[in-house]
Amino acid sequence: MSSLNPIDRTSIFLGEKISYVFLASVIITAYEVIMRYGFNAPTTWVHDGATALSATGFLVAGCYCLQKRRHIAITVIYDSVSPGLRRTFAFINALIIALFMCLLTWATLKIALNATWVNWNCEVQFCGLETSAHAWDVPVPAYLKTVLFLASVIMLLQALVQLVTVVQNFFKKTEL
Amino acid sequence: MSIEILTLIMLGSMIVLLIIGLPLAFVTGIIAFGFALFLYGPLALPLIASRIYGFVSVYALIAVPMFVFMASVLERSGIARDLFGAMHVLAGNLRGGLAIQTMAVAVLMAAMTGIIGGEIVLLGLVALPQMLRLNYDRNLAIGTVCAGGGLGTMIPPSIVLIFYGLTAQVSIGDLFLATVIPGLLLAGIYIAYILIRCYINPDLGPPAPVENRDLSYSEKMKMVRDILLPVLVVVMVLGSIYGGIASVSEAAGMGVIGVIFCTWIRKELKWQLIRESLHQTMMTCGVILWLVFGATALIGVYNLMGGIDFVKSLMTGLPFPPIVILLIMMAILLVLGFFIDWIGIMMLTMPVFVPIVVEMGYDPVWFGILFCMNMQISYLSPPFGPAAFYLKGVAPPEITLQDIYNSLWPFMALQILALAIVMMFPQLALWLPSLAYPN
Repeated sequence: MSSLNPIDRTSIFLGEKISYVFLASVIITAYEVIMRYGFNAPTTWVHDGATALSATGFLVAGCYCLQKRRHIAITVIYDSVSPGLRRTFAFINALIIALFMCLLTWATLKIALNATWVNWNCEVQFCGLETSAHAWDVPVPAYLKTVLFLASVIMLLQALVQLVTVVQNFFKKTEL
Repeated sequence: MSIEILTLIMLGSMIVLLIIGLPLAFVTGIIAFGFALFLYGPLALPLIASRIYGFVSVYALIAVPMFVFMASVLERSGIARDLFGAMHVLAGNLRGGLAIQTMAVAVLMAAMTGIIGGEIVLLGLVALPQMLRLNYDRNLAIGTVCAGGGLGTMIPPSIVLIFYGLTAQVSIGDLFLATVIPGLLLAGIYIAYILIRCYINPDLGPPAPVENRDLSYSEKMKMVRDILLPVLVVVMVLGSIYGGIASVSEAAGMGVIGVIFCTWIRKELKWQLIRESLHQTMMTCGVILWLVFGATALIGVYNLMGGIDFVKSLMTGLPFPPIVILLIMMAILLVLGFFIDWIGIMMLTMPVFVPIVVEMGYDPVWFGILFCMNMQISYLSPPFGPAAFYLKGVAPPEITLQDIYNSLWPFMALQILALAIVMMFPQLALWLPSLAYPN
C-alpha cells in the first residue's frame, strides 16, 4: 500500500504514543522502590498504577501489530503458492480476522458495559464503576475494560480496511 | 459429539488455517470462538474475552515489557560491542578462543536480557565478522552465535520463565533460581564442544594474532570500565530478586533505569533511542499478548469441553512409567517447536501438561526448566527457528538461511544432551531453590 488511510494512521499514532506508558510504569516502579527503601514510605498506588499503565500498552499494541502485519504466521506455504491462490488465501485470512474482530468487539462491549454503564449510579462512589478493591481502590477495572473495548473497535476497523484492500487486490489481480 | 471427534476437528482446522498463513493468534482465537458459539452459545464469548482483561491485569506481567524495553535499549547502545571487546582477555592464545569469548559475552548479555533476538543480532554484528576474519570454521562460528544468543531465555531473567510461572502458578523467583545451573551447564557444554573441536582440528578456530593480545595498561583499564557497568546492572537486577529486596517486576524496572543510566554515562542517551526502544517494546508486547490471548481462549474452551481431562486420562492411562510419559511430552514439545513459537506452545500445552506432571509427582519448577531447555532447541530448529532468521538479517549476504540451518545441527544435539542431563538429575535445577527456601 502506497498511501496510508486514516485508520492506518490512527493505529500507528496510537501505537507509538501509547508506548510511553511502559516508560511511565518503569519510572513509577523506580519511585516506589526509592520511596520504600530510601524514605520508608511505600506507596499504595504504584503496583496497580504500573499494572494499569502497562496493561493499556498491551491492549493498544494489538492494533499496532495488525497495522504493521507483525502477528506471527507460518508463511512458508503461503509464499510458495501461485499468485491467484495466494490472493484467495489472503482474502480468507482477512475475512477470518475481520469476523473474529467483530465477535471480539461485541464480547468486549458487553464486558465494558458490565463494568461501567450497567451499575451507573451517581449516589455511590465513582458512580458505581467497577473498582479494583485493592488498597488503592479506584475504577481501574472499569477503565481497562473500556480500553479493551476501544482497542477492539480500532482493531476491527483495521481488519476491515485490510479486508477491503485484499478484495481490491483480488479484483485488480495485484501481485502480492 | 464425542470429545475425540471434537479434538480432531479442532486440530484439523488449526492445521488448515495455519497452512493458509493466518496468524497463529487469530487461528486459535477464531477456533475458540467458533467452538464456544457452537457448543455454548453467544453468551460464552464475553466470558472468553474477559480472559484478556484477566491476563493483562496481573502485576507480574509488567516485568515483560520492562525486560523487553531493557533489551531494546541495550541493543541500540554500544554496550554489547564494548563488552565483547573487553572479554578479549579470555580469548588469548587459546584455540577457538574467539568462539569462547563469544559464548562468555552471550552468557553475560543473557543475564541482562530475558529475550532472544536482540542478542543474536548483536553477536551476529559484533562477533561473527571477527571470527570469519580470523578464518574460523564458518559452521562453528554461526552455531556459536545462534546457540549462544538463544541463552537469553535460559539464564535469568527470562521471559519464557515469567510466562511459565504465570501459567503453571509457580514462583517466578524459584524458576529464576532453578534455571541458573542448567543454563550454565548448557553454556559449559557449548564451550567444551568448541574446545574439543578446535583441539582435534586447530584449523577450525585459529588463535588471534600476537599483536592483538598485548594491550597497554590504559587499554586494559578502559576494558575493565566497559565491563563494570553492565555487570553492575546484572548484579542489581538479579541480586534484588534473589535477595528478596524487590519483586521481579520492580527489579526489571530498576534494570531499565540501570541500563538507561549506562547509556547516559556512555553519552549515548538520546531521545530517539528511548523512542525507538519503546516502539519495539510495543510491537513485541502486541505480538505476545495476542498469541497468549488466542491460545488461552482456545485451551479454555477445550477445557470446558472436557478436553484437558480427556488428554490427561489418555496420557496417564498409557501403560508406561511416568518417565516415559515425560519423554513423550518432551517429544511433543520438540516437534511443535519445529512449527510454532514458544509462547504459542506454552499456552497451548502447559495447561494440559502441568497438571499431569504434578499428578505424576514431579516438581513443576523442574518441568518449567525442561520446557525452557526444550524451547532452546526450537529457536534453532528449521524451518522456522527464529535464531536463524535473526542472524540472517545481519549476517554477510553470502551466508544463506540454508547455511545457517546446516551449522545448527551439532548445537541442537548438544541441547538435547543438556536436556537429557537435567532430566536425569533434577537436582541440577532444584538444588538452588532448595537452598533458598530450606523448608
